[in-house]
Parts: sequence; structure tokens; C-alpha cells
Amino acid sequence: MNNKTILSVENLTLFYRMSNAVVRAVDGVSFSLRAGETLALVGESGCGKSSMANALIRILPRNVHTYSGTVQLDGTNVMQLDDDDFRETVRWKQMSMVFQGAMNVLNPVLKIGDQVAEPLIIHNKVEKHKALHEATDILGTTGLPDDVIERYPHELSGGMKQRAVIAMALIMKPNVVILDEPTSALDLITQANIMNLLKDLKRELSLSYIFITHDLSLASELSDLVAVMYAGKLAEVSDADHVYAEPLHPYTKKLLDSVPTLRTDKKPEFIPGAPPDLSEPPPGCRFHPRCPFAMDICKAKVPELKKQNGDRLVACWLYDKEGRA
Amino acid sequence: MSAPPVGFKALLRDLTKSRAGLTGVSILLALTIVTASVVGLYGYDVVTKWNDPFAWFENPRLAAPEWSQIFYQKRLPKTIMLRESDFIRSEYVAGEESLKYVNLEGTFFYGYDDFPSEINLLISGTFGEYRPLVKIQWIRPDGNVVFCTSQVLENRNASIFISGDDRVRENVVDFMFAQGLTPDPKRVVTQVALFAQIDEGMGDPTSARVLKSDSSGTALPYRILVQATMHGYNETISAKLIVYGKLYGLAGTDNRRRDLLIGILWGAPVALAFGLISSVSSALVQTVLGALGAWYGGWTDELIQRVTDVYLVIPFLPVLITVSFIYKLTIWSVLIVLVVLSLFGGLTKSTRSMVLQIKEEPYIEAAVSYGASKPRILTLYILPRIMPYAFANIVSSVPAYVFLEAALSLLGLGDPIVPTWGKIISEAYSGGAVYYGFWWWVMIPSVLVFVTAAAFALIAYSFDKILNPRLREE
Amino acid sequence: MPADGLLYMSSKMLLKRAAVLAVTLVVAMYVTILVANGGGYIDNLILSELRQEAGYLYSRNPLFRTLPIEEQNRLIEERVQLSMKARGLDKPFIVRSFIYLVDALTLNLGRALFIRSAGGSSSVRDIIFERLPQTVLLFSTGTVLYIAIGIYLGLVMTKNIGGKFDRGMTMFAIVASVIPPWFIGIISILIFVFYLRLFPFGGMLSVPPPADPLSYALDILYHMVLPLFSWVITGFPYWAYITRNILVQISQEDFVMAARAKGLPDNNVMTDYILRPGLPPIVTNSALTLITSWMGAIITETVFEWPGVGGLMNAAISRLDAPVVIGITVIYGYLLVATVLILDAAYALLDPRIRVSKK
Repeated sequence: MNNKTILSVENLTLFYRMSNAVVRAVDGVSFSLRAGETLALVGESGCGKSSMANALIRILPRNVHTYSGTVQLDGTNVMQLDDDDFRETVRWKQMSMVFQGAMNVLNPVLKIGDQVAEPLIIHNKVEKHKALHEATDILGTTGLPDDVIERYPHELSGGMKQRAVIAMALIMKPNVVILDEPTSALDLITQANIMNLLKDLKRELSLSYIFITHDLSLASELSDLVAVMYAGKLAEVSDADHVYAEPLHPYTKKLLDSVPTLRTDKKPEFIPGAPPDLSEPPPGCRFHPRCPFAMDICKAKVPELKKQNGDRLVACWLYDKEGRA
Repeated sequence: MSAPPVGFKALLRDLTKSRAGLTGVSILLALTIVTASVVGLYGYDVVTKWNDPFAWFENPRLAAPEWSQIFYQKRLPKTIMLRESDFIRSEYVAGEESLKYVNLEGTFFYGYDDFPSEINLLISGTFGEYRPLVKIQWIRPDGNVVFCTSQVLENRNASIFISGDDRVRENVVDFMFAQGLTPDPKRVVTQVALFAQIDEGMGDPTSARVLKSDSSGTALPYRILVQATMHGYNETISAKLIVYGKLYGLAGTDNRRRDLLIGILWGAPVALAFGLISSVSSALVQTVLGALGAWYGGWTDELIQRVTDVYLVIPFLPVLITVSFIYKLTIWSVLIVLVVLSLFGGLTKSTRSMVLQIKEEPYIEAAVSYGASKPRILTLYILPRIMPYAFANIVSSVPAYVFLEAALSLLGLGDPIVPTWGKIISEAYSGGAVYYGFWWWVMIPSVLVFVTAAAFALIAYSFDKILNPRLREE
Repeated sequence: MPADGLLYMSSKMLLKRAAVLAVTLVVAMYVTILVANGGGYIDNLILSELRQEAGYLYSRNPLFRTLPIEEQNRLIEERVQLSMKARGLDKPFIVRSFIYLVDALTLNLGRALFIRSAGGSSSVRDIIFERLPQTVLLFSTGTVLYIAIGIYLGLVMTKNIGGKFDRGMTMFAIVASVIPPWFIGIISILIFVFYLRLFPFGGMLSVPPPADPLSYALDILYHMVLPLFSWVITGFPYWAYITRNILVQISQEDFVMAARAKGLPDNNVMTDYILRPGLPPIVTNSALTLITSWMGAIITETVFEWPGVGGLMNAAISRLDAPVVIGITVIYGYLLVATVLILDAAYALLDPRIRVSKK
């Protein structure tokens, strides 16, 4: 496993402009990803994780208010590229995305083969015949039969569509693959199959994933690193083993407590309150209204992500003794 | 933003929020007010009057609206009317058994740059067995006297159509010859020559120049002299002179001298009523049928679907035309036929697909499970949801029906009696308004039709914004 | 499943659809025939007209006037019966209506009562087909034009959603969509012909028509300008609007976003991911457009005195020539059904989701 850092995100910010407010969807998020590593981005609905994905791959709506930060991909700060360059050099070549296949992400009037081969034809100017050949290969790697390239999306089941979408994301062999809730709409058995596929692919092709999900247990299967996101900011970034065994941030603890366990009698707890409105987040630490350990400083100052216990990062006044002083 | 409004009040509220909706609604409001006042003030008499040729006798034919003077360089004449009391009367009787001479003299000034369209002299007299002899002379400001005619009065109310009478014309031509001119008798126009300056151009309407005499200057007026020779002491005559102008009123006149303003004002309520009744009834029926079919399913649905298909295949306009022609319909029977022909249509199909979708929603299922009856769910839950779409359809189809009525009139199949905008436009078209340039006859009702249609269209536009907010991404 | 399997499925569906449409057509035809003949009412009108005609004919014969009244009436009646028989009007109406129906469906449109073609033929089919090319020429050109312009403008509007052009055009579209072409026609005659003297008053050719083919063609074009103008200007705005709406709705779909994420250039996204999936509903809409355009043709042709089927309809109605009226209606009916069928087939071809739906 190559330990080179291939993705380094610093202070990534994405705000949307609504009719009378600014929605702070991604508020100064920083993390880094090493080659072959999987980072799981975990959080409740509405915490901004999908916006994070969009921010990385620069799929922005019309009402963007702020879009800034540094994204170092393989040495280049891609945030500085203009839209055309970004489209040509980064999209799909260096960074690709796997959407929920049950979302309508496949063009209903084009055949699967054409859609999977398309990036090769457009970006690498590969001749169509060869491109289709490669498409068949990669579709095979995801477990789909050869004749799928002649099919239309509506002829495939949910699981098959998801595999096709994964194949489509991998065809250019990108450095980073962002997976945005890839299994949320699938039944549990198919979900398990897809997760196994992802694990195999990760091993065979040494892929680096950013795995976005709300499902902690799912994240634990695949990831090396876990980043917990809350209300547009990162609460904690730790390696997988430690996160589950010793969660640092109160939110992470609460998340873990809410997962039902098979082997013990422990009742799952729930987190009181509701996630904040991203257009008017609470002052100070955004979690403080729901935090059992909230202190006065939590209501006033925003805690920053700081190193703790080695390589772990956590943004919480419980641990930031210097800041408190 | 928001889900589509449910129910009528919500819709109205949302509607008035946008500029377009507001404009549309205000135009319609103005129209409704005009409508109500016209109907209230004039009542149905208007219709009888509209078709009575004698009611418009005093108006000029094909006169442009008075305000259009600004478009013309020449000052166009307005109608000059000398009533019976305006004539200076002098009577002379020699004795009880002798003849009676009655002189009527009318005076007026004429300061316009253009000639009158017609001249008419109405004479009414009371006489016995012996009919009076009437002599008419035209005295110009330049002093010349034109002998017009000498006729026996045929009946008690006679009119001597000075501008149209051939004998008068011959006499005018003679007058011109006597002045040393050599006009082409076929080109001489009486009402032009009587008012024209004496020069070579007098005989041709295009080159004649008006002999003006306005009251401000020292010029003499025009005078008309009517001399009657009567046989009885008790007999008498009186006269009325109408020098028809070329301008009239706010909307001009048509070829039957009718004041177009009246027809147009009356056309407003008719247009609105026609459009609204037809579109509301067809939209309502189609919506309800579509919903019924989708909600109850089974044979009901099949039947409604099949009938709708047949309706869609029947060529609507040719059938409408045929029916109108065969049965010589009035506007209200056309309305009925129209509604019958529109009972099934595209709205049935689209309502049906909407209701099919709504049917699957959980809250409908919930209602069924707690025992709400089918008709109840239909009226309380489903119909209010589809009402805004029905409403949008109504609004956008009103103009279509207004134009349809106009189209039928154009083909000669409209109501023979009631003045509608469509009828006026079609009369204008067949009366040659576009070929001869009687623009007001065509344009004024057209503009009104257009404005009404546009008002509905604007409302439809803001409906569109309300019902499809996601398409308005800004 | 190989390609011919696909074709098999579609043709089976099409056949079923065609069958349903055929039944619909028959029913619609019969209703139209009933209506066009006024449920027999027309018979009475024709009868009285024939009687008058016969009476007039005989009254010019001096010998006739010498006959006693009963004899006169008898002769008139005889003649009327002969005329009726000659026109096939002697059978009762109900029987005739079914004969008409069968004839209509086999396009045996019979003979006109009064109207004749330019060549003198009384065959309804001849009369109609003589006029058909002119109507097709004018209205097909116009319809194709405004559909093309409309789609192009709709594309432009989609590319700049919410911009000035988009909003202005939408407003224009909704207002223009309620104005019929003949209305614009009347006004444009007033402006362009009377005031500006740019174009002729109506008709298809000048009198006398030019001799050489090129001038002839140009003359026709010259006469087509105003009717085309009225037709196109009332047609394209609404098309731009519905195209725009369809395309905008599609552009908000997830697969369009995914296409952009894949790094595809805007042009490709527009063509393959927005326009192509949009074709099926656009094509369906053109079905409705074409159908309504045949109708609008009647009045527009009347206003411009264009020698087509619309004007013929007008004349036939004034002349109470039921066979011609029915004949035209039959042709309209067939055209409608054919259009619907063709468009269904086109839709199936364009949208793969439809093809295999009956599995």
C-alpha cells in the first residue's frame, strides 16, 4: 500500500444562497486521504455530506454563495483551475463519483455500454470499438455479464444498475472515487453483495475511496479512516478501529450508542433534539444544544479540529485544553 | 418553495402575487365592470337597436373615430346637423284659398379641410290632397347659388338625398359648366362640388379644394334654401339637414352607420359570458369525468376512455361548422353545441393520469382504511388537488372559445342578431375594411379581443408559475 | 433478446393500437355522418330546393302554364323524384347513413350534389384531391417551420434558464398561444397589404399566372408569405415554450447531473442527455399540434382565399353539399388516425422504455 497522500482538503467551504438566508452546507472542512485508503464520511441527513461530495467534484447549483478552500489532488490545487480545465483534467480522470444507482443516474435512452464507455471516448479520445471492449471488461469486473452493454437501464435490476454505475466510475482508473450513499436504496442482501464488490475492487485495483453514508456500521466494513460530520463541520476524524472502540467526540459517542447491537441487550439510544438549520447554525460548537457535556465555552467559541492521541483529530472543547484556557 | 395550492381561495391568493397575474386580473376586472354597467344601463334594447337600420340614420357611414384626427393632416369633418328649429322659417299666404309659400333657410359654417361623406335633407310636411312643390337651392360663401332640384314631395316624410340624387347631380354639373369649367360628368361628386372652390379641380374629388368658411373669419356661411309651394292654409313643411362628416364618436361607425362603440361595449359581456361558460363547463365536465374514471376504474374508466378517444378523432371544427350551418343557430345554441362537443377531451386524459398517481398516495390509502366512502374521498381529497389544473385549463381555454365564436362569425355562421366582437370583425372583413382601409372597424374590436385574450393568457402564465415552480428555477 | 425480438413486440403493440383506433374511427365517422346530414334535416332542405328548381324550370315553358294546377304539381313532383333518384336521395335516411359509412371507410366518397371540380368532375374524391396539394403545401411548410423554430428557441431558452430571453419568450409564448392564425392574418392583411402594399390580397397566384416555371414558383411563394407569416408567428412561441419546459424538467434529472460529473462537455450533455430523452414527449406534442393545425387551416384559408381544402369546406357548407362535407371530414378523420399511429410508432422507436413494457 502506497502511503502517499493523494488528496488533501483544506478549509473547503460551500454556502448556498436561499431566498432570505445563506445555507452553510460545508463550513471549513479539512482532511487528507492517502493512496489506497478509504475515508468514510459519516453523518445524519442534512449534515452536508452530499454537499461535500458536490463541492469536491464541483457540481454546483446556480445559487452558490461561497465556494472556496484548497483541494490538493496529486500535487495540484484543483480549486484554482477554471471550469473547462477542471472538467477536462479532474473529472472522472482523477476523481469520479458513484451515485446511488437507484437514483436516476443512468440515461434511459442510451445503452449501458455506451454510457460506461463514454468517458473514454470523450476524455481519452479512444476509438468506440476499443472503448466498448474496455467497458465490457470493467463491467465484468463488477460482476455483470457481457451482454449488459447492449441493454438499457430500465432492463436492469437495482443491484445490477449499481454495479454498472460503479463500473462507470472506475473506467478511467481515477485516483479517488467518491461513493455517495451507494447502497442506501438497495435491499440488505444486495447491499451486502455490493459491499463485498467494493471491498474486492479496493483490494484488486488499490482504489482510494471516499465513502459517504449515514450508516455507521456500513462504514465500519470498508473504511480505514472515519470522518464524522455534523452541521457542515467535521466533528472527529479517526482511524476506524479507534473510532468504534474509543469515540472521542460526544456526537460520535451518541451515534454509536444509537446503533442496535446483536450480541448484547443494550437498548439503542437516540439523540435528543434535531440537527440544526444550516442557514442559522447555533453559535459556538454546533452540537452544543444536544450535547450532554456542553460547557459555557461551547456556546461561545467554535472548537477547531486538533490532533489528539496521536493521529486522531477532534473538534471539541473537552479535549482542547489550550483553547479553553 | 411550495406545493401547488389546494382549493380555489389559495389559488386566487397566489395568483395576485405576480406582476403578470395582477395585470391579467385587473384587465378582467375592468372588463367585468364595463360589462356590468353596459348590461345594467342599456339592457337588451341595444340588441334590437343594433339591428334596426332606422335607428342610426343620423350617423355618417364608415366614419373614423374622432380621436384619430391626429393621424390625418387634413381636418376631417364631423357631422353638421341642422334641426327643424335651426331653420329660419318664413311663411307667406296670399289669402285663404290661395297658395302658401313656405321658406326655410338653414345656415352653417364649414371650416374643415375635407369634404363631407354625404348630404341628406329630410323634409316632413303636413298636407292634404295636393302635394307641395319643393325647390332647393344651395348658397355658397362665394356668393354662387347652385340650383339643386325642384321636386314634388311624394309623402309626408320624404328625404332628398342630396349627395346621392341623380337629378341634383345633373344640376350641379350644369352649374359647373355655367362657371366655364369642363368637368367629366361621370367623376363629379355632388357633396364635393357643393363645397369645393371653383377651379379646374372641382370636378374631381381627388383634386378639389374645400371652400372654407369658418365662423371666426369674415367669410359668409353656407346656406341652404328650401322653398315649398303648398295648397292649404294649414299645411306646412319643416326640414332637417344632415351634412355627414367623416369622423364619429369613440370607435367610429360601420357601413350601416352604427356607432361601433355600442356594439363593442355590448360585445364585452357577450365575449366574456360565452368564453367563460363554454370553458368552465367543458373543463368541469372533463375533469370530473377523468377523475371518476381513474378513481372508480373498471368499466367506468374504459367507457370514459373510449368515448374520449372517439371525441378526439372527430374533427371538431368541421362538425361545429356543419351543425351551425344546418340549424341556423343563435349564439347561445352555438354555446350549447360547443359544450356538447367539448364534453370529452384532452383534459379528461390528463386529469385521469393525475388522479391515477394521487390514488397511490398513502393518505388516500389511509382514508380508505378508516372507512371513508369512495365519493367522499373523491370530493374532499382528490378534487381539490386537481382543481388548480382544471382552473388553469379554464383560463387558457377562454380565449380559444372567444376566438372560436369570432371564427364562426367570419364564416357567416354566427348569431344573426347579437353584436359580438367576432361578428363586428367578420362584418368588417367582409365589408372590405382591410381592403379599403377602414382600419378602426377591424382594429378596435381586434385590439379588445386581443387584450381580453392576453388577460387570460397572463393569468394562465402566472398559473403556470404557481403550478410548476420547479420549472421556474432562477 | 436480439433486435428482431424487439420489433416483434412493437408491431404487436402497434397492431393492437391500430385496432382500437380503427373502431374509434368507425364510430367517429358514423357520428359525423349523422351530424353532417343533420339527421335527415338536410333532406328536407334539398327537397324544397329541388322543388323550386323544377317549378322554375317548368314555369319558363309556356305550354306548362296552360295545364291545370293538379297536372302542374304532378309534373313538378315527378321531376323532383327523378332528380332525387339521380342523386341517390330516394332511399330512407337510416339506410343511406350506413351506405355512407361503408363508402366513407373505403374512401368511396361518391358524387357531389352541386359542386364540381375545375375539370368538371363531380366525384367528391376528385374535388377534394384537386385541392389537397395546396393545403398540404402551405400548412406543412408552415407547421414544419414553426416546429423547427420553436424547438431551436426552446433549446436556447433551456441553456439560459431564468434569463431575460427565457422569461420574455415565455410570456410571449403564452399570449401568442391563444391567438389564432387567422386573426393575425386579418390584421397583417390590413398592415402589409393595405398600408404597406407589400403583398397581394390573397389567393395563390396572380392573375394571369406567370408562364415560366421559375416565375410561377416564385409567384406562389410570394402569395405564401403572409399566410405563412401568420401561421408561423402564432405557432412557434408555444412550441418553444413546451420544448423548454420538457427540456428543463429533464435537465433537472439526476442523470444529467451525473453526466456533468463524468466530465462531459456541455454540448454532449445537451444533445445526449437532455435533448434525446426529451424527444419522445416532444414528438407526442407534435401529434397534437399537427392535428389542431389541420383544423385551423379552414379559417386561415378562408381569410387568405387560399385554394385549398379549407376553402372547399367553407363552400361546401354554404352550398349544402353534404357528400363533400362528409368527404372532407372522412379525410380529416383518416389523417388524424394516421398521424396518431405514426407518432405512436415514432415514440416507441425513440423511447426504449416503451418498447418492452408489455413483458
